[in-house]
Amino acid sequence: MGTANTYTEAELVQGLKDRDQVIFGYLYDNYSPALYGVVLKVLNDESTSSDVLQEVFLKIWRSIEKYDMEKGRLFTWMLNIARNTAIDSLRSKAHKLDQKIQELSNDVYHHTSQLTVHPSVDHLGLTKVLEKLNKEQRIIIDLAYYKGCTQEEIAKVLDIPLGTVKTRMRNAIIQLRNILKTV
Amino acid sequence: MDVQRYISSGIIESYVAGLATDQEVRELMAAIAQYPEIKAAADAVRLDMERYIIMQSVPPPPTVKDRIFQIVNNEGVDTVVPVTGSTSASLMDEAYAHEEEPAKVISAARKWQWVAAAAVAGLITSIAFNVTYLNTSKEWKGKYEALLVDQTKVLAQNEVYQTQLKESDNMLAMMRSPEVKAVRMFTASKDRPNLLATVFWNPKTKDVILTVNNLPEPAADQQYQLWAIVNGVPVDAGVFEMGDTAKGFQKMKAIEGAQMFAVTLEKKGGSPTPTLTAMYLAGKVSS
Repeated sequence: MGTANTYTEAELVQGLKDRDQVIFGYLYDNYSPALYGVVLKVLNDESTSSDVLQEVFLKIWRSIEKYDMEKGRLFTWMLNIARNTAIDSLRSKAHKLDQKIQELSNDVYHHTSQLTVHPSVDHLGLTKVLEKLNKEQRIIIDLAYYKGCTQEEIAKVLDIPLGTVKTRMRNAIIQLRNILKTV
Repeated sequence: MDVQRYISSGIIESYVAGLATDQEVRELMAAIAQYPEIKAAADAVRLDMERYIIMQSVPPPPTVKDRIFQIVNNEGVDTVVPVTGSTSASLMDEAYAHEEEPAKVISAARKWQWVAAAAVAGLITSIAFNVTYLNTSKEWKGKYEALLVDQTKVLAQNEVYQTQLKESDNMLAMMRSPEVKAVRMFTASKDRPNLLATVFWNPKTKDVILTVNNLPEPAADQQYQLWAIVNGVPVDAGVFEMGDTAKGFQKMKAIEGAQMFAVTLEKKGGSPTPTLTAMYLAGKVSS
């Protein structure tokens, strides 16, 4: 999908505030795969994920007035909306902790099938990252970000003292940063 | 505050990954406002996390965009024209108010009954229509998505066929060249009769193409290897899988100045020198 125009974040925000549907379409075309990726990974279910993605974009469209550029980038704000909406939906389904872990490990297969269908998806180097992060590092990041787990839940899953969860998270992200440098 | 110690506590990473408690978030917000180093560290971690998230992008189903824009468009219209239900109700009220003026009390009550009955009937019809419409639209959506999947599959297959066709074309063009020599390789040992494979070799371009006419399927840990004999020395021309070659033609390594070609059975992946006892086929290049 080659959109000829590109916009700065400020132009995007202004366009949304002006109710400009061309800008909204541009925003959708450029950001929906990233946001859908988040929602899908949280919910692990394609049919509810498209409904949630729809809700996410309607929230972006309806509450753009609440976005404050001082507090962070537009993309960060949109990611937060996607993550929060998806996790709310996950909680309403009352997923148990072991179910969440199960979903994360099933997701690995899910992802490989996605990759074979869309080989272009992996030019960003996900496979390499997933290979090089060890299992504990991946689980700690994914349980926190994609499943909204608390520090207590993570301590229980990884069987580590509660006090070490934050430093483990730091190590995981430092490792992630090192891998990203090589991708 | 010991800024370095705070940064290395992992609170920033936990916040960005969505793991920090409310209390920790408040602390961190205050720290970010006060110390530029902490803000820089937080921004860097956020960028790492966002790259990781972007890597997991998945294109959403194509129907979602239309649905969103439909809702957005309807919202725009809503402010101008009120919803159909309320319009008809208010119109009915007005129309009724006019007729009521002559103060015919009894007939007015009867009319109310009619209006109520009509309204109920209308509502039921509307619900029925909605249900039917919803079902058909769901059905169509399902069919449409199935078609999209089929289309992607067909496109992918088409690409595979095109590549295969192009390869065959290239090989055919190569073999039609007048410089190409066809080297038939026959059974090299009496206890393995009737084996045959053919090498098409262009001495000028050094291209080598192999096709197998008859060779037994090797064991799982073994592979056939093609050799060119150049001035009495065997030169590796590559190993080949039975599946591909048996079905068609396979391009092998480029070879210069060959007098003979031969095939031996080697361990999987090939050997640096041929195992002569396992020579299956050999054939001389016609001069």
